[in-house]
Amino acid sequence: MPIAQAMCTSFKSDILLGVHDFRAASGDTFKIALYTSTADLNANTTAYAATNEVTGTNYTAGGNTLTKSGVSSVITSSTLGVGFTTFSDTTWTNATITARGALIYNNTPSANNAANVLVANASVCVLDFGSDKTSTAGDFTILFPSPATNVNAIIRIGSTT
Amino acid sequence: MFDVLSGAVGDVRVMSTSGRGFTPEELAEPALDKIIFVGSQLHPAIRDQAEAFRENIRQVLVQSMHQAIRSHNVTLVNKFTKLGHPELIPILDA
Repeated sequence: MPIAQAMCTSFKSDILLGVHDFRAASGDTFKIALYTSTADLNANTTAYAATNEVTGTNYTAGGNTLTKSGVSSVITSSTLGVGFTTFSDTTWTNATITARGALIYNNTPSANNAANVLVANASVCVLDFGSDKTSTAGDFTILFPSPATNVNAIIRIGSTT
Repeated sequence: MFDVLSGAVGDVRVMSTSGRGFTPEELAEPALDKIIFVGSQLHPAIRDQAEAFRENIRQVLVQSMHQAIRSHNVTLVNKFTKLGHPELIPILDA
């Protein structure tokens, strides 16, 4: 499957290396880019690339900047809990585009101190829309899970079971 | 040893239109999801009250958004008139 929804494996290690900051006011800039059905995106995707990215009226390469909601956590037992974050819905207005999926990535990541390298536009997660979604001279909106909780938020770290 | 990095990705929904923007009715649904969530495990009596409350909010949202559109159109009518293009006014009701 060309686009497989997943949390990117590089993102998991990047968290431990302090690459990403999801704080609402002072954190990094996260973006969402749209891709066609021919894109090859999965857990092994490490960074944003323009290959097979959507093109069309009122879509700019790199996608939209996301509005962060900050980080929350829920303790579900003495040994389990979940940290999670989400974003506000985002819209491409008066757009003519067709997309099968998306990549959320960090446009301003911190350097990976362990390897002493900076991975530009480090990937976070891949989203699969399930089928092609099209707007023709219309609005194209991505709705994030709402209300975001420890069991449905777009990005969750941890387990409830 | 801690196995804390069990990561998961939530599901997004996509709304799109062709040849127009979203209607107030279409925009009300995701707005409602942000305002009130009615859990499936609620006691039936409480769930009925919550769903009735949700429906009332839906009507308020839709009516307010329609009013906002009408009000914005009044602003556009004045701008078209000031710019010398009153012929554009009829398209606002199309």
